[in-house]
Amino acid sequence: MSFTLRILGWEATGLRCPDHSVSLVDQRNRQVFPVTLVQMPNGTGKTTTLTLLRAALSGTPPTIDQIRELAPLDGGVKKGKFVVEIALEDQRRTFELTLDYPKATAHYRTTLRSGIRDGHDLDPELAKILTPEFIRFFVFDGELAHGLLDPNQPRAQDALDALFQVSLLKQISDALEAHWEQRASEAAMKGKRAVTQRKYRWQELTAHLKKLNAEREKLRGRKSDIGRRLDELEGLIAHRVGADKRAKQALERARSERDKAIAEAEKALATAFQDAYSPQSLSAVFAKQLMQLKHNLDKVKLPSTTSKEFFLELAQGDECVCGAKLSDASRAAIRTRAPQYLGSGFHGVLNAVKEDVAHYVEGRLDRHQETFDAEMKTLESAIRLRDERIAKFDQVRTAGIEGAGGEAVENSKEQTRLGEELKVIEERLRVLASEPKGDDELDKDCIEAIEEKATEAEEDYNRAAETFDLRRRTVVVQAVLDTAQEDARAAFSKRLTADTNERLLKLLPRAPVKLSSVGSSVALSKQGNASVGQVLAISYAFLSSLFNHADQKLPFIVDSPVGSLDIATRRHVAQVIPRFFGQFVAFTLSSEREGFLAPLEAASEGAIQYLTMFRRTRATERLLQDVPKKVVQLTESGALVTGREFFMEFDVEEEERA
Amino acid sequence: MRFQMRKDAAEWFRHVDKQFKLDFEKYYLCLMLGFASGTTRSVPASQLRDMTDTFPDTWKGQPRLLIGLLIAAHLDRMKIDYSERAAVNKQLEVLLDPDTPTKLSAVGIRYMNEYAAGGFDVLLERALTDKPRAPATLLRAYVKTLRQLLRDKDGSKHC
Repeated sequence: MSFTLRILGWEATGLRCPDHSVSLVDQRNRQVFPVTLVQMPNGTGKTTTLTLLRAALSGTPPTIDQIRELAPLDGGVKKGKFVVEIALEDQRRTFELTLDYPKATAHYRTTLRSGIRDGHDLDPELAKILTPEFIRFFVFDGELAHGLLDPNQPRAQDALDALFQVSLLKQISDALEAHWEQRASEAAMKGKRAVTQRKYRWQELTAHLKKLNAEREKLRGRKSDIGRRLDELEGLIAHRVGADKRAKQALERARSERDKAIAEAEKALATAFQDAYSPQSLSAVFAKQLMQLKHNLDKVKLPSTTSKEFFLELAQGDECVCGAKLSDASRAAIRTRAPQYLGSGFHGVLNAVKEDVAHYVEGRLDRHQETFDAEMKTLESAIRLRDERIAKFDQVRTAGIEGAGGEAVENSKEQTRLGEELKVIEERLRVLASEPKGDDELDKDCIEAIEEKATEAEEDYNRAAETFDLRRRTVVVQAVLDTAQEDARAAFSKRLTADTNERLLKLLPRAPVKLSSVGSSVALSKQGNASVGQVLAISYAFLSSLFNHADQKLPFIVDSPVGSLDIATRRHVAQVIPRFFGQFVAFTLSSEREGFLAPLEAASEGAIQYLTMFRRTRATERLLQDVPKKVVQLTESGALVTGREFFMEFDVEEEERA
Repeated sequence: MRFQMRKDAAEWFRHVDKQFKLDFEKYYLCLMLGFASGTTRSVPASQLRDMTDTFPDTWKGQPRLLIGLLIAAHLDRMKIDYSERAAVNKQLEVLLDPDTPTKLSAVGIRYMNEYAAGGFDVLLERALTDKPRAPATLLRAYVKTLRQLLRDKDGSKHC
């Protein structure tokens, strides 16, 4: 997103530099001066001011040592404050940095249109630019100039990445990696082998399940067939035996008696079991225990007619139910005794228990057990009779079969064999249809357990496969992002190299230097090392080219812009600066005026703000004589004079004396 | 909190499974032996199978009588005399919860599960060492064992 950032001014109090307030805005047209020159003798606080500007804009507080170095030398001041105002397009914002010297702490505050907020508040687009690393490019740190040319310090690439948002591509790549890491750690697996193992397990379980289901179907079918065949055989046997009328009648009679006895036994069994589910029937001792419980609860009046809640509420009031006034002592006694009563909800439960005891148990306690015992006797009799009748039937049947001989005997043998097979099948079907027991060995043929395991294995495999697939896709996308990043850097680099070389031609026509490329650092063509002047010129050319190509328009603030340049180079720098930078602020020495100021004024068409700052001493008081008060900003520690005339007259000797 | 039965108990009853319409019926049989012997057993969750969280509607027994027996067994185990009203109330509040479907608290159901688990041990040791193959055989051996336990505990003769 494109934007224009301008510095509107700053104010310093209680710091090592003189107290001062600088405005970079032309009050006549409310526009920022394209060029502001702040002339300060050595020791006035240029370095301090630039350090504070970087700290205030970036939100990175000075270190403890730096805080001590920013404190006034004479001591006695406990707090220092530096406030810088910026404009992002037309949105103004103020960053305030307060230093507490005794505690060596720093505190930020941000003033926006919406109000004052604690801390250093930045919009997302500003946050990418106002980083401690990138701020050094436009609140220029002279050391950075050499760093641009140092292949071991990727300063140029850092500037390029930050300004053209190339670093976003790396951030996306890192986010994808983090996402895959998280998914992989959740699934606790990485790699194709893990996927294959899980797939194999899933396939194994699925195959086993299929086999068990197939077996169950087959067994059911066989059971059905056996059932039909048994009926058939029974019919055949009956027919063959029935050839003998007497044998047939005997068999039918025995069968009927057997079936009746079986039914009677089953009925007796059901009756006995049903009664067994009443504890008082199982044993009179249970009946006695239940009655004793009821008696004991009644004896101690549980549940009572009143509840614990009643007493606790009573204790909160002023009067008892009888109308007597309650004292603190009586309230305390009520609360102490309240636990002797149950909560009202429990009344219902206890009363229901007592009701059931009264209903089902009360009376002669033995009668239930007696009834149950009678049923058990009936059951025993019914079972004896059933067994007798079954034995009788088998006997009659065997006799009939033997009497019929031949095929009847064969049919009977087949029935016996099938009967045995049926038992085995039924037992196997029971195992297949059993409930899972949670033991791998016991559950190995339990269809329900295998189904559950197969489902889990499938999900496990899917998770692994998805993660593996996710990894493949992540790697592909990251490769695309890496390529995009490299391509973007290469494209920007090519453009920047050409543009920077064009600017260098203007800056250093007599000592031309050319870049071969802009990569991690700025590489010179054909030349090993550059001179101090050339380094500075390269910095100006590169940075102005950088700022010019970026969507973001940034100010450029520099200390000693041409100090190390010869007169001719100064002239060239002065001529191009207004074109290179939308807002240029320079802290200068008087010695830099020569060869720089005149061409700068010409190139700027006079739109320059001249400021001179110095410390107030007995000697410097003399400098302010005859200076109109309206152009002088006086504080206890310093003076700031606006205007070209004073700026031009403030000379080296005066600086020495200051 | 659910009623829970030991997985090995469920397996033990398998030959006579057809006799039981509900798992709760098997649970009840174990529970009664637990009450009769005063035996409880705490079993790891992995060895338990969840059943219903209410007394089954189709169960023919009387759930409140089971609650009564639990109260009696628990107070007896805690050696609390009924005259100690506050102590009795406290234990009732531990066992009961008027707001649950069973009217038992989670602790109450847990204690009941422990009596059922302990009762199964007794069933194995005293009633039938082998898995029962016929329901009548099971019932006969069960009732005999139960009454013997109650006699031993009560110190009085019953038929």
